[in-house]
Amino acid sequence: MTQGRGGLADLGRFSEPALLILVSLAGGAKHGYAMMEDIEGLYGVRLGPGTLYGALTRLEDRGLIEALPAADRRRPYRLTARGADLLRARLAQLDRFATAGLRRLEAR
Amino acid sequence: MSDWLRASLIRLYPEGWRRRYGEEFAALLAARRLTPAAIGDVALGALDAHLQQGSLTMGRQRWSLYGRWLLLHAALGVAAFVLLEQLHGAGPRPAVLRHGVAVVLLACLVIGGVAQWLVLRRHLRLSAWWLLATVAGAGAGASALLLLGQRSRLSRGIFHGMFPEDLVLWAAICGVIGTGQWLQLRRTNRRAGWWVLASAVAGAGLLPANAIAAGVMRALANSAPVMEHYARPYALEWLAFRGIAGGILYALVTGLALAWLYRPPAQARAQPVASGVSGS
Repeated sequence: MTQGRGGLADLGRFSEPALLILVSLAGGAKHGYAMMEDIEGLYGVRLGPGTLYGALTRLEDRGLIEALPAADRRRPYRLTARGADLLRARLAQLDRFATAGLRRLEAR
Repeated sequence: MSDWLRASLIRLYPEGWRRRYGEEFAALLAARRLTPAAIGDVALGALDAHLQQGSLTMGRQRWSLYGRWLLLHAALGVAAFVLLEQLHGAGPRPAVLRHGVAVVLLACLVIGGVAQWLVLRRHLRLSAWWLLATVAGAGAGASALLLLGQRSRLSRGIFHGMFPEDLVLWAAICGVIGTGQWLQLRRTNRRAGWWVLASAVAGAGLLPANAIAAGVMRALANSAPVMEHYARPYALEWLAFRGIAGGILYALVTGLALAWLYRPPAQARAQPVASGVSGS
């Protein structure tokens, strides 16, 4: 896989939740609960609160997302330019992977 | 009950984490039902936050730094011992005493190094520079030791007693080492100048701590007077005990000085920590 240090590959068990968060934030800034709802609707997975914030803190540490001013105790987050670039590259990689896999299945 | 449970779950997280994320995390927990799976997930998240912060354990990189720090201090102890041997000449001291002095020095430096590193690892991202500064400072300190020793023709062993010049000598050595470390500390702390004074005080305190430990040993062993005790070959366990006593004092002075230097600003201390939960 790609990315290396500062990417998603070194996030361990948080790499998949982090990708889901980035995809969710690609649709606009969201706070934690809205992200959970969005990810469940998009991907069918309900992230636990601990998992969500474990991934959020790592993404923020790496400068891939940034916090916006809190409103009513809820703090929205948005993608940074670096986060958008990394997400784009990661999705393109997954797209190539999925295409190759489907092509192989069709050839059977 | 559920509010109490939510607040308890948030309190599982480290204080720094709660200060940053506590409010919004409380809002998130309040907005959803707490299933056993969610409770388990939050508990694991809290453990992960502690691990991330390094308060329960250290990652591979931190272990690496930790190991280098200890090795460096151990090497400094050996270097100081060799230099002192050169400075004081090949006296009639038996091998067990020479080894014992090395044990004392190593114990002091390792214990002191652990205390300093435990504080610094939370604050210095470029801790490797601290190691370099320590080496540079130790080199300067050893040079000063040699220079002072040649000029004053000191002939006593380093642990022969609490003579004023010994206190000054060790304060100077540790002060110079502290100055080397200050070169790194001043990048991140505007009060870093105090570190030099703390290092010198800790260095001067090594001899009294050692003498007190020797006195305790004498009382325990009901043996010869302190000065006579100094003159005889020591058992390594006694020397190790004295080294640990000196190391603890050195660690206390320098560790507390670092904790003071890097204490949170008053504004942050006054800021309440988010841990309570109310309905959404």
